[in-house]
Amino acid sequence: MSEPVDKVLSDFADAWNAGARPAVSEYLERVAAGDRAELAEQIETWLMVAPAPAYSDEALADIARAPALAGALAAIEDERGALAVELPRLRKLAGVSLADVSARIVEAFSLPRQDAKRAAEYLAGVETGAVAGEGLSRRLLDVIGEAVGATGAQLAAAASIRPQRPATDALFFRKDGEVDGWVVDDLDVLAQAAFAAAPATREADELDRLFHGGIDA
Amino acid sequence: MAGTVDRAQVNPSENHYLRRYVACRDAGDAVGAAEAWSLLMQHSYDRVAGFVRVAGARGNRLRTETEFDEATQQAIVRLWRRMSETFEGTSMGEYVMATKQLCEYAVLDVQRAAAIRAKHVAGSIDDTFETDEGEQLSRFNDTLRAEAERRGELAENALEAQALIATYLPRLAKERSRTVLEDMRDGVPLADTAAKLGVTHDNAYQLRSRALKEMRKLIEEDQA
Repeated sequence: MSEPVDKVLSDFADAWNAGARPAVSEYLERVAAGDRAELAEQIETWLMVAPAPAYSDEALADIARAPALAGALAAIEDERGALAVELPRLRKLAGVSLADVSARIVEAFSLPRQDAKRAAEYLAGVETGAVAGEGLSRRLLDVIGEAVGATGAQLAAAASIRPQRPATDALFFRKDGEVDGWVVDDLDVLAQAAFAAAPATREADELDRLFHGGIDA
Repeated sequence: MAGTVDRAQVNPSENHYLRRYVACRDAGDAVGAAEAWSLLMQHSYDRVAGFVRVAGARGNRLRTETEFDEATQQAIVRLWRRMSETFEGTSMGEYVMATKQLCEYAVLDVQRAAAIRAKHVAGSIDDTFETDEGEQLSRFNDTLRAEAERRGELAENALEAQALIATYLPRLAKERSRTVLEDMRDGVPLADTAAKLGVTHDNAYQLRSRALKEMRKLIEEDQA
């Protein structure tokens, strides 16, 4: 039997506040079909202003196991690229900060001391995925590896695993038949060009080459 | 007040982790940002899933649990992109409104993907049929047109920074509505609110519902 929208909305808010994780679909089912749009809008308004519930540890564990959340976190890691995931992990294990690693870089390559800040910004970019891993030179990876307890070869392997193409964008690419290899190559080149850093207005220096010159720089 | 939950003490939750995420992100601390993001998403998951469920139910856009899961996953990934690339705000109001908007986008994308998949069963997306008025329409015209209109509407409704409940509560016209929403926000049991206002449970249900409608109207007026 259908219940009034007001009551079901109120029950939803109470269950939300209690951390009982009310399922929207179940509450929509409790009202008449003709009332569902109104209830949905009311629940949406509540979700816009509702404070976060006080979840129990068990509820948080349940949420962490939700396939959509686990899938999203995995997709985010893929999108960042392997080095963007590995480097922060190794750095945390080694207990070294971005400033520590950038100081090692400046020292190892005899760079001006003021480059330390820029090196730290580059490293932060590597960790967020904003700086492409494949741009890093092998000699730089050796120094970073030494600082975080890994080898340059290990980091180079991680850097070679590129970020995955975002799934939502991939929806626009519908493959109806086999595509010639050159088309794929061209798309790859265009994609790389599109995401490449804008040319610097100043001349590239040693630090730029270390982070953007590629494995042999 | 009996039954009131002191959320600041028992549950640092979304606001705490949102601030932590933004601080770590801005400091270039990817480790801290990743951890804070994961915790933020645990505390935001039900809100995200709720927005997706509501957007998906609107016009029966999403039909299967798989589609709902897919849209929820996409919404979280989109939110991460927005937060890591362009989001500069730090208030819960900004965060919640960005979340709601991205959930709508994710639902539309999943709906479109489902329409494209359906094409392989139902025929080409370019196939046409004749309407009663003799007009040739594509099989998915209605779906795609509704989607395009919705996208335009969403773009126009891009919201500014607002700590929603703090902003709108004082603007509710009636003292009674403010009391009811404050109590809802603070987790006060319905019976206590009803007793305080001297109304029946049924009346208290209606007051809660009316207060939320009034708040939504104010939000929509500000967006217009």
